[in-house]
Amino acid sequence: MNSSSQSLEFIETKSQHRGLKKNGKLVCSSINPVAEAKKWVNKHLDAFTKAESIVVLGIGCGYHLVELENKFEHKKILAIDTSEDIVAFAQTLQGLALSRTKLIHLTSCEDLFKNRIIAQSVRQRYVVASFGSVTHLDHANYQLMQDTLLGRNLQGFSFIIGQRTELKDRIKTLVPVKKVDQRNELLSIKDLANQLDSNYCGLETFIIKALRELVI
Amino acid sequence: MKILVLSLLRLGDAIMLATALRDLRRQYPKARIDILVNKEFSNLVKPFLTNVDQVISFDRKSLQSMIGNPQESILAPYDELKMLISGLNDQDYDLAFNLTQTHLSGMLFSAIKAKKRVGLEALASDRSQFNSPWLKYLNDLSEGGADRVFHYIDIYRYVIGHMIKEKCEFEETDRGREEIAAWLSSVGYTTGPKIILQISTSDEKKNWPVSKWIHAAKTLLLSRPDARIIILGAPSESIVIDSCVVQFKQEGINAIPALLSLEGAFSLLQISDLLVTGDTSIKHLASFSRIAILELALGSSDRRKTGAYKQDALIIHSKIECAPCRHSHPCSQKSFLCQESIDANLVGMSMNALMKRDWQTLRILADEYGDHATLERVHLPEHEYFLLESLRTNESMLSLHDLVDRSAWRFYFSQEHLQPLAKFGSAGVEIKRKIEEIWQQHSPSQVRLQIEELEKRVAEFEFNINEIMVELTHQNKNSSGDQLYPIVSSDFCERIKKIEKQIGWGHSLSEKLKFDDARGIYNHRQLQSAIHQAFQQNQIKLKLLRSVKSALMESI
Repeated sequence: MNSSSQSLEFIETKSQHRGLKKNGKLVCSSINPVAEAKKWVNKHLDAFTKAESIVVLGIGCGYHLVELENKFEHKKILAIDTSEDIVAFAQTLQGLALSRTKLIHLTSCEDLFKNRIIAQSVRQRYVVASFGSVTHLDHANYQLMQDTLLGRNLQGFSFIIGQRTELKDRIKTLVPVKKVDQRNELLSIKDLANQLDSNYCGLETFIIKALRELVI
Repeated sequence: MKILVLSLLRLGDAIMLATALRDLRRQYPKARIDILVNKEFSNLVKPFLTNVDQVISFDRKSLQSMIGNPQESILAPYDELKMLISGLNDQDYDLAFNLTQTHLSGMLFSAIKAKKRVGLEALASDRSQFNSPWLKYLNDLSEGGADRVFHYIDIYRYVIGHMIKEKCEFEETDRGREEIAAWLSSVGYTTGPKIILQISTSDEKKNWPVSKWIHAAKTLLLSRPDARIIILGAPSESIVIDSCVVQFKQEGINAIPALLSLEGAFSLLQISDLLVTGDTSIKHLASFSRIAILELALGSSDRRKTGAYKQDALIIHSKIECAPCRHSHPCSQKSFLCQESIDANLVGMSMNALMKRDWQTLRILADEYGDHATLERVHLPEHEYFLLESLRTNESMLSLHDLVDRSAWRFYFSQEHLQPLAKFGSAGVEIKRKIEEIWQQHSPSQVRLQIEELEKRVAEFEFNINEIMVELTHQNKNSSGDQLYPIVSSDFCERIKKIEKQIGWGHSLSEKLKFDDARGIYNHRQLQSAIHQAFQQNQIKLKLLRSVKSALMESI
């Protein structure tokens, strides 16, 4: 058992479900993780319903992923965790219940760009949802992954646009309009509109320009 | 045949489309007609737009929330909007109209596929085109500060291009009828004329003070003690309406609140006698009902473009110079002078006279209060266009110019004037018929005098515009070689200033000409085109006036 797995502590919740602590911190509710999972899914229900693929940050004990699978039978679900041990634990705990969800272990954004499953997921309508009980353990890393997956930082912007065949030749991804990291600002639809290739005038251009008009 | 209509403004704008949609349905009885409106209004307008097969929602708020939410993917609003557009494009529309003059609608319209498209659409390099002379007119003249403009409903109808000369009315819905029956039984009365006051508008500039409403109601009740005062509002306005009711009660008036859905409100309008309202969607709804309308046009409310579109509606507006002001701009005065200048006694007495259709009394009131307010009667001659007649004695025939102007624009846009046998004669007879319908109290010789007076002014304008055209040609000849833009003298700008309001095309046209860069060249070209258009339209006006004169001569 390596040092990271030594920091894992198995618990039994008040609802008599199996739970987990990492470095002394809970990765799910100590009272009722299933109820917590249902609540989490319901909170994001609208967004999940609209999306074709769902990317979840934070695997933890995986109860929320089971709930997600049960609720959305035809959606592509993938879940990312920065702890290999947690991924292994979830696979053991929920293995049978999670038939369609891809569990992915990533340590950084660089890993994220190399992952083919993630690249495929963002080619369609997708949503990124963070499971707070897990992501608080590695907040900065998960936040960076979230901004990247949402295309809100420069690397993520290039990555996301690069996956869309209808957009990658229309958007100038290599010439950023502002140095986001320095100004600590997230990219917006305005930046997307500013990066449009002015020589092209098609459906995508008009949709993005229409969205720019909606910025308040 | 599949047709799509875009209307992405507010509720009132969607209601104003009803007549054009009726015309469209008559033209294409078997077509499938869809309309794209903002989601917040889609369920509200659905029961009234009976000529439409499907009301499609544009969820502006959801898109805006996605755009502003850093937890959403940067492409989430793109995916959402693309799904809507793809759904529309799957319909493979044969004909599409964009009746919204905004950048947003222009961009959306360009993304929508249709075999034929009419209305503002965006092109590459931030250019745009209208595909309809009427929508270009709406952009250049109506929104460009011209002093004679068509009502929006008329413009929509001309864009559709199949005018049915019949009144358009809405049908009550079962839900509305049931709601109003329940309301009537809860308030417990059936007798006495029902006067509906629509006190609250969406803009404080358009809100007449409650104290004035109370005063006006008191004035009315002096002569009509049996009248029942109803304060109408949406359920979401309950706090405002309840507060008004309390204030009325404190002044001894038993006003009844009516917090109703739009369908319920329409049913209430159908059984009531008079609606007094500011610029609200209820006003537009009432235009399609049986009720008499008294409109208080305040703030940015421009009665020429959005006034109550109903024969014999009465519009009272302020004579304050800044009215109507620009929409969504704050009031430029220390207090709302346009509201203050409308006397509550005038409104109260006008309510009583309008209920009795007593136009003679209304004319007297117009003269008496004429220094501060104008009373105008709405005419829809032969259901062809909206015309305002001032009820003040010496201003009554001022709108004769509007009448001829409207006919001239129709001639111009249909290019009828270019035909070898252009029907100026029959157009003259038609105008004469409308004059007789509107100004029944004037004798033919009085009318003829007014026509001659107008002819002089139109001829004078032709002279002025001719001079400008000559100068423009001269400027063009002299601007060559290194000089990219024409030199515009201050004297020339002054002359342009004098005709600015007649040719429209943007505010402060003369100022725009002073740019000595690409904008200057662009503005100069625009001016040339506007001048050319105004010259041709004015020539048509002259010919029409001469035809009207001969038609009048024959009858004298």
